[in-house]
Amino acid sequence: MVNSVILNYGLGNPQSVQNMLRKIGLRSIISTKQEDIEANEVLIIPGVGHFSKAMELLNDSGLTERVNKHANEGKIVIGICLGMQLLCTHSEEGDSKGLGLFDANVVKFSKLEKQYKIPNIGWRNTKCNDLLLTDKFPDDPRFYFTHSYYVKCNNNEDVLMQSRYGINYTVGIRKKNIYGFQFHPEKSHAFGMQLFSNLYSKFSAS
Amino acid sequence: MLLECNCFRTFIQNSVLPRIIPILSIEGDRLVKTVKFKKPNYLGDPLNAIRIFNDKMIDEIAIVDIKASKLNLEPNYQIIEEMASQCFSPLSYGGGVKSVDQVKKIFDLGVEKIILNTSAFVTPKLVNEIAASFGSQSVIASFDIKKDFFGNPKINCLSASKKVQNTIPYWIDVLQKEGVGEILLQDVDRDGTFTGINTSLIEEAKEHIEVPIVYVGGVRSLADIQLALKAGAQAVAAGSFFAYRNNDPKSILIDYPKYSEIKREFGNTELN
Repeated sequence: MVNSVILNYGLGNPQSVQNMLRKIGLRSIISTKQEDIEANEVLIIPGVGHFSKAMELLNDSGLTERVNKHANEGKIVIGICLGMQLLCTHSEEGDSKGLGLFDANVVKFSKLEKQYKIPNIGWRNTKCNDLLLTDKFPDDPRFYFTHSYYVKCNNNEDVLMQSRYGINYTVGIRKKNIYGFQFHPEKSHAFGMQLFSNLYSKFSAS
Repeated sequence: MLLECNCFRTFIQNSVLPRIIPILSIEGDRLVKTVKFKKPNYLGDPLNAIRIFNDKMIDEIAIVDIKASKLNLEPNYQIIEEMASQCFSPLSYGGGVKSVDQVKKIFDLGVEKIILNTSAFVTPKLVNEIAASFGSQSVIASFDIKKDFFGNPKINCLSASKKVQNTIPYWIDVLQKEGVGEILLQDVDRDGTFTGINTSLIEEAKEHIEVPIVYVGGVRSLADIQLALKAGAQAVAAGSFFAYRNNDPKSILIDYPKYSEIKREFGNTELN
């Protein structure tokens, strides 16, 4: 079994992620300790909150180095929502530098037609270009989103999933061993469970 | 080049389905339902309700402790934790929240949004503090609206037992400046009455509101929800509609429309 460590850096909802992993029979711990990160194959960065505040917390606690080390060793990193954005190069939210593991920028939704309120909150359909991840999905696949900023990928080949809110935009990224999801799989019922199951099957197969 | 595969064949659509949100009112660890915020009717175990709603893949769920603020109680962290651990949809909590420390504690239990009513109007800065730490999307202000003696709509707090000074537009402006993420427009006079939507409340408020509007009060059908959306709400919440069979308070039955019904009803709804 592939075990996970969920990073508890002060922002975000590690407990919700652990609740869902437990529900599908996956083991995880919530921690920020170096030894816990080293002992687990998958590092999950959850996130709800403000980008520059989150980066401050990561930088001040030495977690930036720990995340980078984990990624550079070829182990798996998954960023969720703000966690995905933190893996990018830069964000307009607080005009702040990110971890830079994705060649991508975080920008604010702007110039959308009036009916598209910000933040974008709700269940949206997505498309995905990895058949392994979309396997055995229940009917009407959809995920829960809540965000005001979105990720712009500089390399098309890193785009894993897309959705639409006034514009088409990237909601899933993959660069080798590093994954990012803009939506909240941990809050997306059976769809989130299936996505996690598919991801972890993929991890244990490789 | 993105592939389209079978299981995601319905993917990107231009229409954005509304959020339909059950509200669970609790008193301590009892699930209740009020009429006009009074006469709480005991419905059962809130954990059981959460499990049923989860199986029905609800869009989102709100838990509101209707006594906490009025009796000056701390949020019941134990019941919140138990409910959150059963809930695989977005979850908001309201009731007795006065500080960022409490909010942090509640978010650590697996909740992602806080609903403020009394505190939002007593200490609007709290909205700002929550937004600065956890983002605007994590803070909802509940405007509990009741007609006064002269028939004018007024904001109320402390479970609708006390009027708030100043107008609805004034408070919309103040709280938006503080960074509120959503506004819950709640018609207290329609709570639990199955008398339909207060469309004029939404229409008047929406002129001032930039963030998403969640309407609550009087829902008795999907057609009512449709009316609220057409009036300008982005989401609709309800208590009694999801708690009673055939809108009959004598017959308790937790229910929620199937996704196929929601799609049929709202798939072509234009956003406002």
